[in-house]
Amino acid sequence: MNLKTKSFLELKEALDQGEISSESLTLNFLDQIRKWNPKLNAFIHLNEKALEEAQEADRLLKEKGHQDQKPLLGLPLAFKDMFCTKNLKTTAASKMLKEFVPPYSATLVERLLKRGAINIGKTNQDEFAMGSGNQNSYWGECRNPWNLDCISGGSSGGSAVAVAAGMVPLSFGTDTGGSVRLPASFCGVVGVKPTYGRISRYGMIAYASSLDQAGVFTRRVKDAAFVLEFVCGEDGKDSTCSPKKVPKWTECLDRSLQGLRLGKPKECFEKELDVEIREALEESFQMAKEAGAEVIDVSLPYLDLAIATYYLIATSEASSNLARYDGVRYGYRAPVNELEDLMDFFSCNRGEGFGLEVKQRILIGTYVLSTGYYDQYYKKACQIRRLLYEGYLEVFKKCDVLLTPVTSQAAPSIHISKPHSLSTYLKDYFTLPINLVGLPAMSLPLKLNSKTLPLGVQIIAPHFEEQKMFNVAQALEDRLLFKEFPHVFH
Amino acid sequence: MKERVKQIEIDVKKITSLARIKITEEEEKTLKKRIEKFFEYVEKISEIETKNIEPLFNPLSRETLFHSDDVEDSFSASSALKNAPDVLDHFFKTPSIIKGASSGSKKESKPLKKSMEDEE
Repeated sequence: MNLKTKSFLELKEALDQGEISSESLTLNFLDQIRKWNPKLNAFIHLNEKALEEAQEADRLLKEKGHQDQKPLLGLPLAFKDMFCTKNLKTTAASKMLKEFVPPYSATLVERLLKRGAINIGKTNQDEFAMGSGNQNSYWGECRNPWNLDCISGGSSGGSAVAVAAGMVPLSFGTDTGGSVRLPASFCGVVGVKPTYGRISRYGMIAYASSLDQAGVFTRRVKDAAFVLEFVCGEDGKDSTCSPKKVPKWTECLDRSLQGLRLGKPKECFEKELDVEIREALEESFQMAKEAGAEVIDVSLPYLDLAIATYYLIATSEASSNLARYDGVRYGYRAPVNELEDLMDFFSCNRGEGFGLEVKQRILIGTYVLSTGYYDQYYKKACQIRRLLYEGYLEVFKKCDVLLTPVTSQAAPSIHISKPHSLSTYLKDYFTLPINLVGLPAMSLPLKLNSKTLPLGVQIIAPHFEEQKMFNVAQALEDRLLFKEFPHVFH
Repeated sequence: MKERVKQIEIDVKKITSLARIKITEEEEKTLKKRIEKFFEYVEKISEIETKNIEPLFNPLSRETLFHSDDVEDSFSASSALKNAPDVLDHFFKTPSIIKGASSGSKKESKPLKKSMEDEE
């Protein structure tokens, strides 16, 4: 059995049936990491106890009867380095936290490990999740397994690559403006960001608190729906985590889209799109129609303002969230002998500890929130956020789900991608508005383009209606079944 | 159609002071260009009428949650200090910073009475 190509649920079945052991599974993935990580740089720290934990899982699997309490028993997975993992380095890919070892785990991590999952390690990302190419990492760039000269996408590049390259069958990332959906699309895997508030953000290093949400990368839609049932749900440690009941999404995956109204936002399709992406999107609309859906043209009039709105709000929230990194109780402290005063102490630590993109965003955010500019920029952006929000609610009266591109092009070459430029910010057009409004959205791989790079489609549902999104994704996956594997598998 | 772009001048040095981030001269040159370009781009939001529109700060509207003030297990002092750049007993140690004096001064402040026991 080529374990690298199996989905999370296929591996679960094999483990539960005794066809494979967690130890052999873990060894298989560690071997793939050993072979390919030097080129891909998807993992930045490995859990040295992973094999030991897998052996313990095997002991429990042999005993039988544990799977009810531990439905993820023996299954390996990985976490973006934004998630605190107790006693395992968590750096947010920043020099600021390069030695940080959290004394606690994020709620998301705890919920998975409690159910028997094995943490293989921490994956690469853009520093503090700021970026969309995984080119802003203290630990170096992450590469695309489909073409090593191309970017993986970001900021959760490492997590996307880890699944795409068969290093783990499932991984977690964070999505603030598209950081799960975009690398999923570039790497040819499923990437799901649930509704804002579904998953507790406790222990997830904060970038922009009203935009951040955890997300998952998998090979199949059903894997994502399955694992999210365990991590979503109220958490007393995060007051922005919704108490809404978490449905059993996997039990209601309806293959028919009969009666479903699929919205096609005109603003998205008026944008300049790569020809092959446009074709792939049209094919997916056609496929959805064949499955019984009705395609409806809709409009989101304020969409062109989403990028400006997003960056004004995200940078403001980031400037506040990253104020805690001062080199006093943890984090980087500059080796400086002569200090003017306390402010000098903070400024040196932060000046040396943060990378350029992070500094840029903190400075923008600081300016936006400063006296004289708050109303003109921050308050204004929040008002436009309200207009966007209302716009989506209006559109969801006319349709059940929206289908849009994830990006306007496939993964670009690492040599032409400019991570710090405004033009890079503009590429997040399709994914950013979703975080402003807090909607659930996912990226589904459609096909490879003429350069054997993956193309994906974005599926967006109303708040807390992930079932609709999963249903559309499942129906498309059934018809398309993206069965391609990059050369790193062979 | 020629886009009217407003020229923006940003005092980057002043913002670095507010943000408590020291940058090099080269970084200042680079960041000034990029940040000004950014603010020229976002100027478009000023054209939208938003009078009487309630700002949206968080997409999930929840009332402030309260919980009972119960004593629970927490970190021990030693685990809380594990990531500290410098430690003295149960204290986070920082350079002795007095404006105008060098940080090499050995001025010792009176130690506070120990109020936490190490649970480990």
